[in-house]
Amino acid sequence: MTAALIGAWAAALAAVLVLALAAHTVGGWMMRAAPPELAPEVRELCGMGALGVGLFLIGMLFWSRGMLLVLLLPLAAIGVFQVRTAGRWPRWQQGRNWILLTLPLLFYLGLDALVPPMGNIGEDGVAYHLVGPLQWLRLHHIVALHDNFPTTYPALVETLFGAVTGLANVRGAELVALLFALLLLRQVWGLVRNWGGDAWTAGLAVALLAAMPGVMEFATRPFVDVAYAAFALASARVAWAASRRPHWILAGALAGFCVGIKYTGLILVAGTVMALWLVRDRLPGGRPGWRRLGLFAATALLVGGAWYLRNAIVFLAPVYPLPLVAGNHWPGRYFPPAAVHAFEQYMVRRGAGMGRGPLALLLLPFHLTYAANLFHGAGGIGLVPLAFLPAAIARLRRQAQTRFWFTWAGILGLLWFLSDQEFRYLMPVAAVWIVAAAIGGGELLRRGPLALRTVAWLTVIASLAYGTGVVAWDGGVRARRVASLRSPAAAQRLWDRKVPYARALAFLNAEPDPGSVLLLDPSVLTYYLHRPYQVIRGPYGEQPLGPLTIAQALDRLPEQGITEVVDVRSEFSGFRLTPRPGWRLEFSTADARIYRVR
Amino acid sequence: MSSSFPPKAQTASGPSARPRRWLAAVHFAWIATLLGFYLAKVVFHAGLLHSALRALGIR
Repeated sequence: MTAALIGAWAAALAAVLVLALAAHTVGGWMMRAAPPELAPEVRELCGMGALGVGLFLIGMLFWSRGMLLVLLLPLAAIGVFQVRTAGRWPRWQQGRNWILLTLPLLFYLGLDALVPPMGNIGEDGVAYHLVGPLQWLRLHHIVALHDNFPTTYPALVETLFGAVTGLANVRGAELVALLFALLLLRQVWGLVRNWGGDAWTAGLAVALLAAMPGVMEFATRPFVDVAYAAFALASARVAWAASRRPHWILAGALAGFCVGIKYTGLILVAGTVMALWLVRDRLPGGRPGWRRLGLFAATALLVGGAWYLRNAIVFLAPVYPLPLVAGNHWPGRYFPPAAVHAFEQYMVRRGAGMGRGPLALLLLPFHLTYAANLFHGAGGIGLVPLAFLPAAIARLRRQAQTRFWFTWAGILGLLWFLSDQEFRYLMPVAAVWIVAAAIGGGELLRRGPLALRTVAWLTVIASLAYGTGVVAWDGGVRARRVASLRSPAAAQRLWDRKVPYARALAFLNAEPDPGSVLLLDPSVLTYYLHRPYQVIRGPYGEQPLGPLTIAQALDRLPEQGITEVVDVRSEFSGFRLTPRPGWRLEFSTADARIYRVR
Repeated sequence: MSSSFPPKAQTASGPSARPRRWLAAVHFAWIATLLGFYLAKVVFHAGLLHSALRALGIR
């Protein structure tokens, strides 16, 4: 290992530690609004969410490593003392064997997180989640990029990715993703305990979720869905336990963090309000009126609303692009109606799942168990949720809390089924499902007749073994990433293999010329380019320079300050350029050419 | 059948043993069926079935 590589790992780990400690501090300030029994369990999540919103608001004005250090280091320093005096950790004893069983996989995921994000245009992490955070550092403020419309999505988690990237390097983003996975596991543990399960059962639920490929596939990738699930679960838990007005505000804030992560957060808020209304007579904190539920929803919209307000001002649409029929009548800024329509068609096709009829709904649990790949949930959810569902219903049916969680998960599951059947968006429901299954199955595993105990244990072992294998292997991707840690040469080989046009990009990044680069093809990912750039068409048909043709764009090269043009052969097109007089071909491979144009 | 399944506090029909045995049998049948199908699918998808058959000279 080179010292530089070890230094990069250490810096990324230190940056995430600073962020976590700062979140501990900020979360502590919010805990006066938390139900006392839940405060230790939601503290860090609240802090992470508040930091995401706060840093975004500040970052729109100014964003730099210095600013991040000045803001986060003092908060982290306070956090060090608060951690030392907090001293309240879960009682692991009964569930420790399950936790010990999970630790090797979590350690392995930690190793994976030390490998920098890489991939092609099909990998959202490098196609857009991390594109913004890298550009913000160059531009010194947080912006949505006109050439890559997904960067206009709510970006609470991306802001945290940007913070650790700014403090250290982009490896920190994957460690933040892993941190959120741990916080989700913490929520699962807490929900089991609140729902009447003992520590052994809580450990079982944690082990099962940690080995659920549909969730843990994203545990070290710079995605936002695991964080979303953690916030959603925490919000519903606080709302269930709420008895005072501050509790409702905190529950709303946690839901608002979901609004600030994904547009589906709006559906979450509506679904949670519906569930609370339907079980209003059974809430332990007393029946909430519309005023309390309104406070919950209003807080959520206020907390997560910054991105929507930004989009409304900059792009003339709070949800950009406007979906469905509204999009057809909207004068899309940087995003022509035809491209918007094509994107929507793509989403409809991708989210079709197994259909939306009554039979498909009835069979959904079976499809999720046996054919999760149809929902882009590669590896699935394991067998335990479905196998122990009857036991969960039998075990839990008399509890008031069961009515709430089943209603909440049912409504969110139904809304998911009717909208976009992408498994990632169902993670909060999957978490509740695994909790219920663990509580129901826990009885079978320990107190059932021998034959039933045996088959129940085989089910758990099969789920854990298969899930752990799939999470660890991940189609060979994760295994190769971890194997690349053994030497710089192995890391370079993986980089060359996974990064499209790696040599051309390395050439461009090594050029001392500060001029802009013109990219003609969206498969050249700007994530890898450390120079100013311009594109004619974005990956989804965005038109950041207006409706220019390539020829028109080439006519305007001098006035745009462009010094090099990159032409590639890709899945979208062959080489497109015929060199013009005065151009010089300075780099050429079988799939990439770089012309110096001045 | 164990007399402690499901725990008495959680049963809908009180301390009578018969519903518990009936319930345990239903759970067993349900889980065993799902598990059998699950394992068959994993074995099939992993290509293990194909390899085993080929090793036995059947294919």
